[in-house]
Amino acid sequence: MSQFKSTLKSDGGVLKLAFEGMIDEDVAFPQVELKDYKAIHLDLQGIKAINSVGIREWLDWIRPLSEKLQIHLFNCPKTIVFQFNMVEGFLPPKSLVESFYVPFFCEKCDREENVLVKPGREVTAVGNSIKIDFGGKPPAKCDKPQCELEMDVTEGKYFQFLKRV
Amino acid sequence: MAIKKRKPHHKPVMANLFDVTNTILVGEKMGPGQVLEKICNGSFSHIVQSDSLCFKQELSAAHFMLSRGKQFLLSPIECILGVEKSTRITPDFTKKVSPDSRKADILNEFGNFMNEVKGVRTVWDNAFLCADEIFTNGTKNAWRKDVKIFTGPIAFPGEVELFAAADEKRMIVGCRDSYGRLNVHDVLKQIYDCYEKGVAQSIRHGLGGAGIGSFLIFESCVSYYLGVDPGHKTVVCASFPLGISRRAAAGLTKNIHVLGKGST
Repeated sequence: MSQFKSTLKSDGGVLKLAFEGMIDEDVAFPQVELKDYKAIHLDLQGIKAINSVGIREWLDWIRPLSEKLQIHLFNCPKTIVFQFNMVEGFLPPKSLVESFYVPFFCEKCDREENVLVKPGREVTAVGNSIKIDFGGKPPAKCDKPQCELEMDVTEGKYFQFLKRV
Repeated sequence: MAIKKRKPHHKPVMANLFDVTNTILVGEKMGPGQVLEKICNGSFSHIVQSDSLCFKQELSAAHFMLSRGKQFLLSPIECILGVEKSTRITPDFTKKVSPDSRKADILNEFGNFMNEVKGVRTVWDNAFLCADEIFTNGTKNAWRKDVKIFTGPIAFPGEVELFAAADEKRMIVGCRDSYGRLNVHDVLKQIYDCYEKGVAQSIRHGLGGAGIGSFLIFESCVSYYLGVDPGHKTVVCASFPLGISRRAAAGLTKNIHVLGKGST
């Protein structure tokens, strides 16, 4: 599992951040000058795992930022989505999830595909329920015959955070 | 040894915490929080659910731990998966920690082991996290308390070993150390608090662990095994289902096995 890395790019009043690797006790989140920005666009595509100390470090880093800046989260992998639903404050109150991954799995051929979805497009919270619509097309496909890639999450749990957003 | 079968019911208060008797509760359809309540209540040292994965083997493991506790601490994999090595789908993994070991290297080796295990795909992330957490818990006793984990040479003499093995249905991930400092009460109380108060509210701030690692393990596994011989040995293991989807795994009930109280 690779070490944590972050890249920063300033785009007017927006700070564009991309994280990759593992969030653990060795993580060094970038320091952000609050006065320089109005928003943060954080790409989490490269995050591989997060452990218990990593969860604490994340909370300590993102809480003060979210009080001052609008945070937009992009390409959230499932390991991050699990934390959204399990740890209060992991997804700060005023932040927005712009896109996240949903795992699809076929037990027959032991294949997994992670499909990127956008809240309000493929997956929408409607009151207390979740509406899922891939426009009639299978979101993940396998070339093997009889392969049946199916959404591999408990919908009531995995999409729980959308009800809050 | 007594085997009791009861209908699950909710009991909100932990009473007589860890006045553990050597009994097995065979339950069914108990949620993770209920399992924790029952084990913390202290009337049972093993909770095995009849609708859990590999119920018979789990019951055998409970019996093994009750009747041959010291043997469990020496050979936990044999206790859980059985002595017959032909049932294993890949060679067992063992990695001893040396003073110059880096956690990342050891976990990468464990990751390589998992890549050879058939049906591991949907539990790979959870098992990796489990290895990280139990390895960290095991080794932190080897380092001084006032420094960052894994900084500098090991401060106390002893042995720490990460191990894993798999048969067709389960993969076991565990850590064994020669310190025997595990406080079973504290570990289970930490997990219980995460269910009762919430994870964020249970996080410990400051230096050292976050206090939610054991919860993350318990939440992600199907069976959790804790064994301690104070001052001599600690074993912590978790079991993960192989060859099934996350959705199917989420429907499996949990088992827990506790051997000894540990230090207080």
